[in-house]
Amino acid sequence: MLHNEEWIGNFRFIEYKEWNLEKPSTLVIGFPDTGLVGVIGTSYLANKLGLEEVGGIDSPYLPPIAVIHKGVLRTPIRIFSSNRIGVIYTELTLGADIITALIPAIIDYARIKRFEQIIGLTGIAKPNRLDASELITYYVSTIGKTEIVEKAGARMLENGVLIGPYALLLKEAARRRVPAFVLLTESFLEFPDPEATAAGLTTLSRIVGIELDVGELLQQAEIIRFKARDLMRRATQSFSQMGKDLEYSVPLHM
Amino acid sequence: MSNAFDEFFERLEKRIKMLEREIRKSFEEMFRGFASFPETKMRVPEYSETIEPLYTIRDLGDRIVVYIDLPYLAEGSVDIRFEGRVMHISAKLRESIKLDNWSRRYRGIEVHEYRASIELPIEPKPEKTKIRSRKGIVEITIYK
Repeated sequence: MLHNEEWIGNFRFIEYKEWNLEKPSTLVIGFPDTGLVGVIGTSYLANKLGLEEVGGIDSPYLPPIAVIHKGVLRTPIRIFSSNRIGVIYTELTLGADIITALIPAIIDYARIKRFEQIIGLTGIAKPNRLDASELITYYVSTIGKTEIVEKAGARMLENGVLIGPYALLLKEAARRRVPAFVLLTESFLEFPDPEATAAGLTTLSRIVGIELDVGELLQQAEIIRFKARDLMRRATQSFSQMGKDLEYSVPLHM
Repeated sequence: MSNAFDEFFERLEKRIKMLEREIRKSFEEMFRGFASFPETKMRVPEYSETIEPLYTIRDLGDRIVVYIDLPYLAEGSVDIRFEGRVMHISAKLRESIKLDNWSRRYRGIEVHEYRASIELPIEPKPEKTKIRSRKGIVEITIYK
């Protein structure tokens, strides 16, 4: 099953087959974070687009986990791809020290595979989310105001604080001059939010230029919330360790 | 001569008391540090006929708001009772969810109901408590 493996820092990038990309190509990243928008979204994206599992990431620094999918052994962090879209997805809640080492390795891998842009999909906590009918998707980019993202319906996040893997994704991508966006859809912080995920995915599909029907995601929203209960609980524990509550606060700088 | 001795022992006693206070303070700070260590007890996800829902508590100044995520909730089935500072909540699912559809290890387990006992930061008064539900999320507002 192993076609190729490459060490980047302390992370082993495994490929199950040879895979290459056509232009333009985008890497989408989903980690457990606010409202589990990233995890639910990238999982749905990979399923709906029929992306093939082409590889994975493992490391002696990750917990000793073997993921078993349809009887086949997989790595804790999984890589899916088609010709134009790649997805890196994990349900593992990783500590800040591991995330700090992992994100730069993922960006370096994206450069090696010649992805032209990286998009992080996640949520941003909305205090009165229960009463919100229209959910806004914001974006933060390594290249500032971006027309294609604005045309897709996202608004630039002008002030605020990001904490967690997506904050690091932006900082490290900027340092390496890799175009990267993080899409942040208003969502619950501590409850899985498939509705916010659908809004975020709709914006993402417009940016990438693919057709993606999110109807099934909305239909299955309740069962996804039910299934994601334990994952959300684990992610919430990591929020308090990272000081995620700061994202809720009103920015002081004028 | 005896005055000089008295003064010496008085100063010594003061010095010993000061040292005692410093040692006690250091110990208190040290034990406060231990108390703030994160809890390392493992929490195993439990699945049976009843499961504990996700919930969160917010302090909005004049009121405490508890949000409880109850996907697949059967409308009108939410039951809330207060016992001192503890809020007991139960709610039925619209229909049972068979967990063996997701994993054979859970065969024979069907979830019918949510149940939770939540400790509140204040003792609620029934006349100062409001409950509403929207999209399978129950919001309980307890005015201070």
